[in-house]
Amino acid sequence: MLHEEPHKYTDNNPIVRFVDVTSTISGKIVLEKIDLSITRGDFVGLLGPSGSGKTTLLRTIMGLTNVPSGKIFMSGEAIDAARPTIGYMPQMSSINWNFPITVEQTVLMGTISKNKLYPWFSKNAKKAAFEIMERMGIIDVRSNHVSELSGGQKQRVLLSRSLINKPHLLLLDEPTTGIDIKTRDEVMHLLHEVNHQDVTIIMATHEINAVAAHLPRVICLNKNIIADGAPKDVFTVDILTETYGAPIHVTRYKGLPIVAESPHGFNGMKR
Amino acid sequence: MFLPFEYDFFVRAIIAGTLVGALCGLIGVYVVLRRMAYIGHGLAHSIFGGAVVSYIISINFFIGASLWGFLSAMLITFTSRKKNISTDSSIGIITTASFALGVALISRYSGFTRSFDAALFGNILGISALELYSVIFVVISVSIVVTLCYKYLLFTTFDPESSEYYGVHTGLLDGIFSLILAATVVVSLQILGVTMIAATIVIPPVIARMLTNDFNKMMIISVLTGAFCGLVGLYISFYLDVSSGPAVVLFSSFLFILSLIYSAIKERLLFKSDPHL
Repeated sequence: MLHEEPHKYTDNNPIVRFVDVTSTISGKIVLEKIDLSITRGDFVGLLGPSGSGKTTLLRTIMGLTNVPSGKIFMSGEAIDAARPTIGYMPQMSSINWNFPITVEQTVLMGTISKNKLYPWFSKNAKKAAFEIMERMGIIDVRSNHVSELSGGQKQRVLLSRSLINKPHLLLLDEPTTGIDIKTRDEVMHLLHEVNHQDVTIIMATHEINAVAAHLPRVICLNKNIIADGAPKDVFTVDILTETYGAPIHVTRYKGLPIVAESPHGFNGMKR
Repeated sequence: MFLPFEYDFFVRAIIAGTLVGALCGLIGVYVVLRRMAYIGHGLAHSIFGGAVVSYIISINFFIGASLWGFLSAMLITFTSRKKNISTDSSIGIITTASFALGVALISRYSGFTRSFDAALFGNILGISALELYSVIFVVISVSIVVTLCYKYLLFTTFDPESSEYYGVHTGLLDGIFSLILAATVVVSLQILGVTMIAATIVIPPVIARMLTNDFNKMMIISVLTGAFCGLVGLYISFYLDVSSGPAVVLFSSFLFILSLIYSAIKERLLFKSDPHL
């Protein structure tokens, strides 16, 4: 199990603050009137059904959506004035793992915004890639083709790419979807370590019991924020049923909330 | 073997054919890895429409056809971003409509004298000095663009979603790629013909992909394979008196079959040495 408490830092300005933010994609409102404050050192899970706005929230933090109303502040400054280095890790399934590319080349892509006019990856970028691959334990496979890697190694590659610029904020889009239990455990412990190295993490996830329940803070989202707090306070029948729009049962085991996602089984699927 | 070099037209054609083969091999790597193999076929048809329009309104073929091809490619990119229109559907609609316009204009204007067969299947007799210079210009320009945009094209091809997050201007990159692809198709038309360009763009990188897992090596193998197919294809065209486009494509297909056999044997040998693979 992960630590319940994230590291605390004495920075008064939240690393991310949304004030009454509405966010749209192709003219359609995806997030509405969001008030949110992420403190430095937080490890936050975003929960909600598909289409609830989890990825849009991450995209809004990155400044990639339209924000017709509201204000976003990053480390106390308006987002337009200063955009800090943010690490981003996409869903595993969005990557073509059969692409002819090595681990090192993939990690180097994280440095693309540096030396914009230089067509190739610089020596400094290669040094940074070496360091992060060493830290993430993938240095021995740096020349391997990405398709030769295990699920855990693939996640480490994407994580290395998102951390190569030493960001203070890391955004993860369903990092544990589609991987086995052992790899998921490995990834969560790795993220926990990263969080304890002064990296604030916001992670969209679908896994309530295996992932979100172990985080210090979760936010239930469905167009707007339904609940925000520790899993023991947020994982209630009322909140989860409102978030997912489906009946959800919650029980407790050794103090941890356990969520039964389909307590009555599917209609018509009886033995 | 050197007999055809006594003819100026053949010297021009063989240089142009080799360069066009290399160019298609280079651009083809991105086309194949972006999973848009059908676009070469579509763009060639689309540019045919642009070429006819350029001829009728008396503007320079290279400028008119390139502009037409670029606009078609951008239109394809734009429409395929709509959630309910897939890329292959938008290619099918836009490029076939453009091709149909070209055919309709040819049948409407009886004064159209250019060879229809040459446009469809390529003709080594039709390579003028101006066309050779155009090929050289496009090869140099595309090589410079691909070199300068190396890491950006690599990122947007591998992981287009994340590249936007990392600050790559994907819209601009798509525009640049459409432009160099259109220019490639335009200068390849005379040698390869409308109907044969797609295979010349797709086969060399597919062969290269079967032989390597390394992106840089794939580019080198694809360019060399494309150039070799262009060179040998034009020889075949001269000696067997067949259109240059089909000659290049048939030779490329032959190499594709050889590399398919090679990779099948290699996989079998690897499996024998380690059955757990």
